Amino acid sequence: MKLKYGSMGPATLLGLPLLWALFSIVIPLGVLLAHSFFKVSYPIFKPAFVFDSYATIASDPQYLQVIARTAKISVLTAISTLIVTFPLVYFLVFTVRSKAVRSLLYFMIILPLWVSYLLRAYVWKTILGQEGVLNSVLMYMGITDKPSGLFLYNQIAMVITLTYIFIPFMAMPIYAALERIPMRLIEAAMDLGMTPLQTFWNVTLPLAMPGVVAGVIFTVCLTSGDFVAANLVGGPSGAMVASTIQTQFGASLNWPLGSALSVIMFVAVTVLVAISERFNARDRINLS
Amino acid sequence: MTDLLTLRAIRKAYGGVVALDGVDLRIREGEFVSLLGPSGCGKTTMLRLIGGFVQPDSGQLLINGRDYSGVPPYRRNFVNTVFQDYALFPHLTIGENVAFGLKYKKMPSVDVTRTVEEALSVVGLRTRRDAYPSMLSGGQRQRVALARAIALKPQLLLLDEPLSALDAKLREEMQIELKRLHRSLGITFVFVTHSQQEAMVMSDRVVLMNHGHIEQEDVPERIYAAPATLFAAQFMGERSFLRGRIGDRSAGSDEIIANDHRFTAGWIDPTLKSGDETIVMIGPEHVAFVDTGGMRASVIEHLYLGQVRRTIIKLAGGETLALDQGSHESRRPPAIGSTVEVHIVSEGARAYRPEVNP
Repeated sequence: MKLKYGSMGPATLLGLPLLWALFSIVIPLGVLLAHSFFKVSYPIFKPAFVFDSYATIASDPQYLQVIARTAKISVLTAISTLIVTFPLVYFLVFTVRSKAVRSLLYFMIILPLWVSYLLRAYVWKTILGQEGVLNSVLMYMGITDKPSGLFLYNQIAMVITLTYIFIPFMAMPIYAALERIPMRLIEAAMDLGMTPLQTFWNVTLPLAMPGVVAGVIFTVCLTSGDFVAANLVGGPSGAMVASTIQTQFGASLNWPLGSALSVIMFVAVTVLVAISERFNARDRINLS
Repeated sequence: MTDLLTLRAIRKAYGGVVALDGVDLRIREGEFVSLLGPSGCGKTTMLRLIGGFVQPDSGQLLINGRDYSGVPPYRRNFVNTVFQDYALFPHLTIGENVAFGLKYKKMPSVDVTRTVEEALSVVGLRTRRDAYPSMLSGGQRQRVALARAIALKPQLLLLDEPLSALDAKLREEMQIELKRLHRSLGITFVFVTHSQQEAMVMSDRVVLMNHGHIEQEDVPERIYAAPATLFAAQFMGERSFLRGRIGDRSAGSDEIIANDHRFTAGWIDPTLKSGDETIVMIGPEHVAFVDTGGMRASVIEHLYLGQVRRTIIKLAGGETLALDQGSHESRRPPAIGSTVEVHIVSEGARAYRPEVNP
């Protein structure tokens, strides 16, 4: 029997998504890329094919610094999110016996995703600020006698805030990875003479690696494009590349420079994702 | 031979559900023991208890004379397990899987390599050392699981339904393979299965379990020929069962009345008295066609089983009986639907007390 596609021929089936991708992804990125080669001619810019903007970025330490800072904050956030999240999820999967309780706790970890991002960032402003919860508690306990301004408007405050915001993104892939590990494998390791700690290092962690990598990539990518946390709790020392890009497209009216910075970040993140994909493909593990 | 393993009054319940209800069992060094029973009978719990994956609520688990209740699996060096679904580490090669336990015994790497080679040759998989488990077939994975367990040279090997996922032909091959391994390695095997055929083919001793207790333990021949309880008789398969009544025992007779027919039983449960109701086990080899004076029945099916030709007949009361004839016997079996008369050959029948099962 011959299959009849009718009006939905294979060309249509394949063409529609391609068309969608073309208009919503490829063309906008193309426009961005094109702008990064435009020439600035004060007070505006005009179409050209010059590397002026890239040269500016390479020669002005201000931009390299902000990119380096972004990378640093992203990596620190990913590490601290991993440190906070992994034990929590591990506890959830391997210690909590009741399925209902486990689902409830997992839901509570994911729940903040339904709360506005801005609100979640603001929460930390009220916690870390001079009139904030942390200062009140410290003063109440008599550890300090006057409110400290040291907690807010620095990179540590940013890492704390971003960590809090990205916990769900780290938790989801790790939870999925840990939940797929059959109990039998843990038992087999112990049967072969491994202590629980050795079992963790040699069986559980290697098998959870794809989830850990996915969580870290999520966090790094999302953090590297963040400017809200920087604006709210980062202070002058916490400016991220996204804030700079925003300024270039706004107040500075230097679209070519903003585009060039965007292209650099886009390439960096894409390379990162590609590396992690390769890592996961190599270790593609069939647990069934 | 000395006792390797002794279970004394072991009890284990999972939230009110009793899995083991005061079990006593002794396993001798070098034995091949099968724990046989339907699902939920407690056989797997017993195995997990010996392996250390669950701990008893009460009772003693003595291994080499020392109480091991409460000791975790990684401190039980003398025992290793072959898991039902093999439980191979998917991120490690076959060689690394087999070497897994050895490395943590702080064995020099030269010895590890040699031991892995040996263990893999025993199961005929030396050439697949660098493959990953996902590249192997079910039967090969099973062999790797076996190699991994024996590489540590345990005194006791626990096998948790290791053949249940294999197809029939492979399963038969592995049965022979396991028997051979047991003989050549001199390790004590405790084998969990729900297949009476598997248990009988392989073991020195079969421990038949039901509802958390041991129903009967004996050599395969005895447990098959002389099941001690009605459950055992029914579980061992093949045989037919008739409802009947015990005849007059005062004269020392072993007469049974079933379907208005009188015959002598080979064994009667000693607690049964004259006139008691009974369920009689009758093997297909203990029923014979007669010309007159037997039970009337109609033929409902013929089964050709290779060695024998089995005829299924239906008695007047509605019960069915199986009857075997040698397949090279010249006498042709009666046609389906025809009426025949059969007689029970005396020694074959065993009369049990009807069980009131919960």
